[in-house]
Amino acid sequence: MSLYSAPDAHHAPDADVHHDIDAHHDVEYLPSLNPAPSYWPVLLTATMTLIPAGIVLYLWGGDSLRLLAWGLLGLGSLTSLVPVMGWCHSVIVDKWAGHFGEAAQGRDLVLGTKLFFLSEIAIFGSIFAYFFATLRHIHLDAGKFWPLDGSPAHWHVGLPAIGLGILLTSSVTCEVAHKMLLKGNKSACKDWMLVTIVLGLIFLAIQGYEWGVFVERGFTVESNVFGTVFYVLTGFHGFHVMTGLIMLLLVYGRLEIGHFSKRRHFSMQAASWYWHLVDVVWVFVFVFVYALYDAY
Amino acid sequence: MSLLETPPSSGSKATRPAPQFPESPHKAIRLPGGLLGILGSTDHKVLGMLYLALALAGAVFGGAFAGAIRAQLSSFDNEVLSPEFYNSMVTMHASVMIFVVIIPALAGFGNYLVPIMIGARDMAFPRLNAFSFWLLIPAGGLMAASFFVQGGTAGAGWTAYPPLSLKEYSGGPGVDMWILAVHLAGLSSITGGINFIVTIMNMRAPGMGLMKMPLFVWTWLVNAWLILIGTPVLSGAVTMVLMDRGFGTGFFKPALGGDPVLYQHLFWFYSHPAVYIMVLPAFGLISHALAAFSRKRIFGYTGMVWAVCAIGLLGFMVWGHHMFTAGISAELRLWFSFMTMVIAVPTGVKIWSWLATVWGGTIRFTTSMKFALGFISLFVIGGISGVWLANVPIDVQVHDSYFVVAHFHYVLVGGSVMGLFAGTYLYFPKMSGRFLDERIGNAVFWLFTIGMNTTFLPMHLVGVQGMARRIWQYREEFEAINRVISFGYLLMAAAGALFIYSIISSLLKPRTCGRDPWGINDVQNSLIWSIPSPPPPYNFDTIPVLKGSSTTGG
Repeated sequence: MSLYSAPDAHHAPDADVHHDIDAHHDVEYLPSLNPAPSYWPVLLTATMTLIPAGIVLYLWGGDSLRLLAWGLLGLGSLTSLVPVMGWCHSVIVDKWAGHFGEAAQGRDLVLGTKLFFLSEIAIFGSIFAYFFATLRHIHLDAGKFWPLDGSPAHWHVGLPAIGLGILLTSSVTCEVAHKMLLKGNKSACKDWMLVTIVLGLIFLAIQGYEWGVFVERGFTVESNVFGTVFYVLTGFHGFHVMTGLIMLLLVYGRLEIGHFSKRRHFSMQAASWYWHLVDVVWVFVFVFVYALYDAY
Repeated sequence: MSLLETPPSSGSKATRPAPQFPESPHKAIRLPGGLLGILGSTDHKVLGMLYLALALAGAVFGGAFAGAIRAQLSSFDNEVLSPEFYNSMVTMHASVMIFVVIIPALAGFGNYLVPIMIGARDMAFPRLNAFSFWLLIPAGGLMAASFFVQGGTAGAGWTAYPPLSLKEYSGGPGVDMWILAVHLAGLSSITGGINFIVTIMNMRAPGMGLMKMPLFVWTWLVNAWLILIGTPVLSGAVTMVLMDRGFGTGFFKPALGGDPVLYQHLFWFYSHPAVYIMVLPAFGLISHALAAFSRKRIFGYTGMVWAVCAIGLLGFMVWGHHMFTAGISAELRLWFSFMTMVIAVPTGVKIWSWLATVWGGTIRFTTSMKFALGFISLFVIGGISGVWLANVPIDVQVHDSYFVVAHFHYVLVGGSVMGLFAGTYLYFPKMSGRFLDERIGNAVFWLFTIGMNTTFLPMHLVGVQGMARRIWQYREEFEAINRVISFGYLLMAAAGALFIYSIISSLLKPRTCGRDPWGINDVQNSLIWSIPSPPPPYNFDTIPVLKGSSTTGG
């Protein structure tokens, strides 16, 4: 007696089965489908490999090979865009051609995206864990928290607070854009998306300005461990802001082409989730690195 | 033709029409055969076999590195290897065996078996799946290339503790290349983990509730969560080392206020769960092998599931037991010591359930069964020395000695590798349509098991007497035992060679296996044994519908 039956089979009562689940009515089942074979993934790993090669060359090639190292880094980043675009293109084509159970692919992408965010939280978590543990051991060793020698004596939180305000506002405008799309007002959606992108750029400019001021005053990653964790945390966050901006730009481009509809706009949804995540991380950075600096 | 066994019709009520797989638009698309076809393949079965082939190739290299270590240690004042090269061998043996052999091999079984076991046609993101696999090639390539750079390959141990891994003590690009290789392997793990979770949560056949999944699928679900939460932290930790080395940061430099011990915390937050990442799917394979060759269903399914979940959860709370001598506080030592011992409880649940699975069964001593039983015996030895090491006083005494080496090799070789052997002998007929030769298998098993014990059992002895690990020479009185250990290595190497020969010779023979090569599906009712060997493209013609409330047998 098989536990599995072909869908059209009549099946006999089964002694050790307590009740039959008429599965395809009780359980919502959305079948997924294999996409076509694709060369994009293997191509992406090949182009990506240029980046670590460039890093090794940058660190060890000396001045004579510095140019080649930058070349490899640039080439790796730029050529990686080709398979990334190709890959995204085939996902979109599969979706549009109706090759998938639309709901099934949406469902898989939603869960996959959330899990990806979880891994992002874990990696930010590792830096924050380092930050808090360092705070504690410096307190134990020196009887005080920051500032160590070489750090700013105290912090003007004005500029980063403006940055926080801008980033929070951009989260709101991103949501407004989404609402506009749901209402069917595509041109308003595009406008609000553009506002979001501009706000993101302003935030990056503020961060860049702040870095410039600090470096000018001689506060760098090499000053002390606070400099290290400050620049790495804000830099890693800035990198995520940049990634988010690229996503939003792609979304804007696709809005321009008219890809999204009320019901079908997963990429926009995912990009806005990512944007919110980057935002929330900045709230933590602002509170624990900037705002509490004088209190430590 | 239906791919599933149709039970005899006896005129009971007809089922309503079931959902169908959507017609594939791509069935007509055929990739070129050979290498070009493999490069573009997104088929979970092809990728699963690629993972396994990569792992086998990696094992040859990792085994050769172990051979170099044993050659150096075969006499006390040997100078076959330079001290630096010996350090490199120790580092690369561990790195290759972990990142290129055991983790990919288990991912290979997972890729191949999980979609079939849950009644799906592929993973949720087949292209991402291909990406995960191909990332391992540059990762292994970077490790291989680092042999040819100035200063040689990384020699700071696979743990890469600063300050040893910082520039002062590890000049040359070796460690940087190692770190970048770990990044690539980590990205591969994370994308793979996401893929497994989405596949298992979303793509189970109708009627297959979570508590009806085969145990191997459960172990991979928990495994994927460990990977997803742990691996990014490892990436973060090694990135900090990379920046300390090349970009002047002070994460682990006491002169700038940094603390090297924090690296150990971050590193073991991943690397202790990594121990379970390397053994949980092997647990799953063992469960299936034991049930199959006892002609029974798995005993204590529910308890096994909760035990796996408990091991996964507790695995994140015990990392400090690697750091008892690193200067952590007494309270932390107490906590980590206690939690480590607690892990023995769910592990014990599993061991007893395995024994109860065998109990009263119709036992067939196939090679797979022998490896499964060998797994239980040897894993228990490794587990018990693990409980010893959880005691702070004992750990402080034998820390960084060969006792620790013996312990984790009993867990990884006696556990993961034995599990992989058992899984290979069990599922090779399903994957290839051919049996592996049982007589050669018998020889592989005995050679490997005797060799494994000859190698690692005496290490306990020299360990408690104070022979330090990772040191290229040692005191003269340990020489006799080290000769025995090096001889044991030769036995394991012979077993490995015989195993590879066995696989190649089987692959050259014609296909002979039916759907159920071991004749167990009348007891187990598994999806995996109800489709042809090897499974056709897309695995299933129609969506399999799970009937009834009992769990899957094997």
